[in-house]
Amino acid sequence: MLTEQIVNGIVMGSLYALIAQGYTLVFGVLDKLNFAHGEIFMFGGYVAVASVAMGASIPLALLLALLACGALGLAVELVSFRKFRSHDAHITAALSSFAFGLVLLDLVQKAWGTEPVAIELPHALRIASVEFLGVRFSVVKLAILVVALVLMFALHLAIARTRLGRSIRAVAESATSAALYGINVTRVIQIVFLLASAMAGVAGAALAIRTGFAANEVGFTLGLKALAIMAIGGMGDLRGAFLGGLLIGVFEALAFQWGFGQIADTGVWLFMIFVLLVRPTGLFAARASKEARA
Amino acid sequence: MSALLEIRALHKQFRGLTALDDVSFDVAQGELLGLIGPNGAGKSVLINVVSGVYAASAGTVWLRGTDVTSLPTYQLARRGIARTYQNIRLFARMSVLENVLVADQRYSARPFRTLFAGGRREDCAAAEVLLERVGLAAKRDALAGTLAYGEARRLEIARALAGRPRLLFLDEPAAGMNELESEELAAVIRSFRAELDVIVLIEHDVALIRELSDRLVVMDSGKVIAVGKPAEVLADPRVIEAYLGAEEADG
Repeated sequence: MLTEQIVNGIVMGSLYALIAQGYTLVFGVLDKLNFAHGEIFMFGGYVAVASVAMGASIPLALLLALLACGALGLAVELVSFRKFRSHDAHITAALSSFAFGLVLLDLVQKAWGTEPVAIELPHALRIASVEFLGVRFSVVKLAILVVALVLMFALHLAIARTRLGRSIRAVAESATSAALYGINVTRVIQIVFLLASAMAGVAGAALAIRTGFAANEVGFTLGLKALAIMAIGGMGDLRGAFLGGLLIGVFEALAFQWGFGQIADTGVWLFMIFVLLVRPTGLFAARASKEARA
Repeated sequence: MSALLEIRALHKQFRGLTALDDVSFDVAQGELLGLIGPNGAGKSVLINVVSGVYAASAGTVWLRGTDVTSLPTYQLARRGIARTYQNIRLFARMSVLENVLVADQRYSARPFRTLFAGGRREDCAAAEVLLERVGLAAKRDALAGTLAYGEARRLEIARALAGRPRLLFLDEPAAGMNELESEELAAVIRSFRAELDVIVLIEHDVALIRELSDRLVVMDSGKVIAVGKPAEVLADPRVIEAYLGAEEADG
């Protein structure tokens, strides 16, 4: 039972990490928070529901969520961030992206209603499981874990090893200098929003597939929790978001296991306040975060 | 024949303060132009306008007969304009090699190469040759933020040259250097001359500028006050007065 709960925690944690990495990627490059991110994640679940309802396979549903949410990321960059590039515009961009998220939420409620919408998964798939070291694991959960880990590893490689990654890091350090060396800063920022939102979309679709339904409050509940996880891990730090996501996922699972389920949600926020007080750069940040340097 | 770079009636205003006032001069193919003048004369502002960091309030910059005044910064870079900063602005959290690699945007127009050609051998080799030439080959994997001052200055130059520019603007590259370091720097600048169409050098070190420049442009209070051969210009009473006046004001 304990192993199963820990695995559940890791699966959930990998989804938190996937969302948190999107927040932190945008923050690292722009020094701004994208408050539409949680709702874009939420929308990924509805894309999965709609795709499966129209006969799409699970992998195709994940791909469609990735594409649709990536496109939303480009849209939010265009309307809520493009004009507010300067450092004085933090609040403007935050408010505008927050409004963008609320509009998206409202549209989803208009289209699908406010109640959760079930996703029609084949029964065989839902109950499929494999045994490993004497413990049964659901195939769906393991597949979600693998997808999340592969995406995050691919992102890590892209940032650390590719030309694009170097350009992203250059813009993160200084957009002006990056432009002086021929980097199209606007294009790089678009790509950052595309990647961050596509990952959130996959996380949303994966959550819907795992729980069996898409719910419109997850943008507020889980989306905001991922924001806390980003702060816990260190703002702008991809590794911190990854470790923070897993940590919180396992913490919550164990809290449920031991009968402290009610405190799990508040626990994350208390933990964030605590971490920010004693270690404002985040738990795992190797370097001082931008916030702490300012 | 027209000049490679023509600056025509350039104005730059910052909230009522005139930083550039009707600045015009040409730079010819192959020329190393020294740009001098007291602090606040507008030299750095001029570089910032030509490299696209600031927008000009009025006037035109012609590059090979094309008006490039309002092009975005990255497009100016891709057209061969590179510059260094007076105060060093390296990508401190990237390695020395990466600082050079990131500035090589020759494949920018090809998205798939941009994404997948991470550290392709020939790009790294080109970057390493540059590092060798500025004497930083041994530091290739160090974080740029950990370099000593003189090293950081030379890395700035290597990074500026990574995109194979045709025009290089050096903003006080010898600032804060000791005599030995600035001699090394002069050797580095000389070694790159043949590969560039134009070098514009802002410098306070009169010995260095006299030694390197083909021609001098002298600025004061946002205006060009003299243009000509170094020996003539430095003997010009107006130039001497501008410098002396500035020193009196400073003192």
